[in-house]
Amino acid sequence: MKYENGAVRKRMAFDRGMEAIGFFIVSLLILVVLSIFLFVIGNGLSGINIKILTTDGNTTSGGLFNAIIGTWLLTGVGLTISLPVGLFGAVYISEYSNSRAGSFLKLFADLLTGIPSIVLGFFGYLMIVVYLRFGFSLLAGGIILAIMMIPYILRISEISLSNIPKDIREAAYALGADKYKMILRVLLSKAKSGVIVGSVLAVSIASGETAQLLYTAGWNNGLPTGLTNSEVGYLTYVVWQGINQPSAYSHQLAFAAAFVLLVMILALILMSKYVQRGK
Amino acid sequence: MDEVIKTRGLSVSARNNVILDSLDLDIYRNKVNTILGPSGSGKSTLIRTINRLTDLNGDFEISGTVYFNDHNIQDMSAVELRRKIGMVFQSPNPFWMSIYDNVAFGPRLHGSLPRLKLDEIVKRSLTEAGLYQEVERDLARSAMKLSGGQQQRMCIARALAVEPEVIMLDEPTSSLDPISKSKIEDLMSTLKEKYTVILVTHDISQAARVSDFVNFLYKGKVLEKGESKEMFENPRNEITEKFITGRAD
Repeated sequence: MKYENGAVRKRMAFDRGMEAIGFFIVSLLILVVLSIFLFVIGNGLSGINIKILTTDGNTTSGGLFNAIIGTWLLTGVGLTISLPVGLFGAVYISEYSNSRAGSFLKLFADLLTGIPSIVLGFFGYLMIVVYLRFGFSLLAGGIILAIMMIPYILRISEISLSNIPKDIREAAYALGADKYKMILRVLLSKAKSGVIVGSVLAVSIASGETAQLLYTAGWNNGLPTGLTNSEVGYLTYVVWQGINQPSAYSHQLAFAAAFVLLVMILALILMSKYVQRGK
Repeated sequence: MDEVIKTRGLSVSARNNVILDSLDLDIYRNKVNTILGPSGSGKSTLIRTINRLTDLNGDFEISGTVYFNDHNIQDMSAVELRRKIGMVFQSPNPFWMSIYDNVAFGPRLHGSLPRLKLDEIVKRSLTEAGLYQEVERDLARSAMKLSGGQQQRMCIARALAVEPEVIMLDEPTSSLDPISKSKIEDLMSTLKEKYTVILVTHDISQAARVSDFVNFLYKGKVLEKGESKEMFENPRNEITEKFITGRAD
């Protein structure tokens, strides 16, 4: 090290120090995530069997079938509402609105993600369950989930639309495309993976929500019989209730429900990674 | 001589900056018409005014007239105009889809065609752009997988697929390696047999190699125009002379 002197050595030491701190923090993060996984898998895996997965239950006895299907149905309804709204919103912000209106709408979407879920739930109870007379139901729960899903889908779709270079839009116009054809055939085909990533994120967050569903979905020992005025069971309710019950079987059900949720969310995330890579 | 495009008193400004200052220029049929000039001289704005891409940006104020086959372009529909006057951009900008779908994009916009007809158009366009032999077996592959030079020739094919009368190339080789560059330069002399070519470039030697006619654009004004040979051997304007001999500021 011919050119090495005091100042250089000091900088190199500082550099190594920063690297060590970074490594420590990242390791800590990985440790936390791994211990959550191990905790859920360790306690949940032993409680999982075909019978639990295929029979209905009431959080103290029976299985999880009604809760699994209920979670799918609720997030399904949520996605059915939030995907078109989020996507149209993203297209509007990125392609139609001027920059001031665009920033206002983005701020609005960001505020929406900041509303505490319990507040959203209470609002849903008053507006949808009581005022609109939907009762505790699939539609009430689905709408409330959609309200929290929209900003994720909108923001991520909007970012992937805005990242498409101006050149690409001009190339479509230069071939004689109208604006809507340009958006449909060029932009959306390119932003597809961003839309999918946003939707997966929204679905995985929504399927893990509890507070707003307590107020809007209720609980059902079987499957709901319609979109409105028929309560729905869901997995996070089983976790929340089961832990509070003084019986070993309730605890087993709660951990099994947590395990199923974790597997579902992991599967979704892996699927979205696969789709992203496929582009 | 047969003019396809004429500009008369064409001025363009954006936010009170004059970009083009009363241009009178003529684009001749089946020739390579070059717009030569240093960066910032208004070359790109000029061709974007000709195919009305300037419409997309509310900032431009345009006065004077552009005639395409003796019709005022403002009286034509922008879609129709852009179909007749194709454009290739500075850096290759393939759409996120297969080579086939990229080239078929334009024809599909303007009506549904039977698959066989579409196959024929894709093959003809890629052949005219000198790319067909290289990609014949890979038409279903993503266009993003092509090299930069191939992507640019594919973009030329995409523009040719809608059967334009004029094709405008906006510094088409500025992001390409020398071999790809010379392939595209060679292409221009074959393209002009069927199409009218407008080449925008700041590359003097390229302009000298491929042009039939040159319009020298400097700070928004046409300082000199005429046959390529004449201008490069005998520039009349002092600034033109400085620029083409490499002594411009």
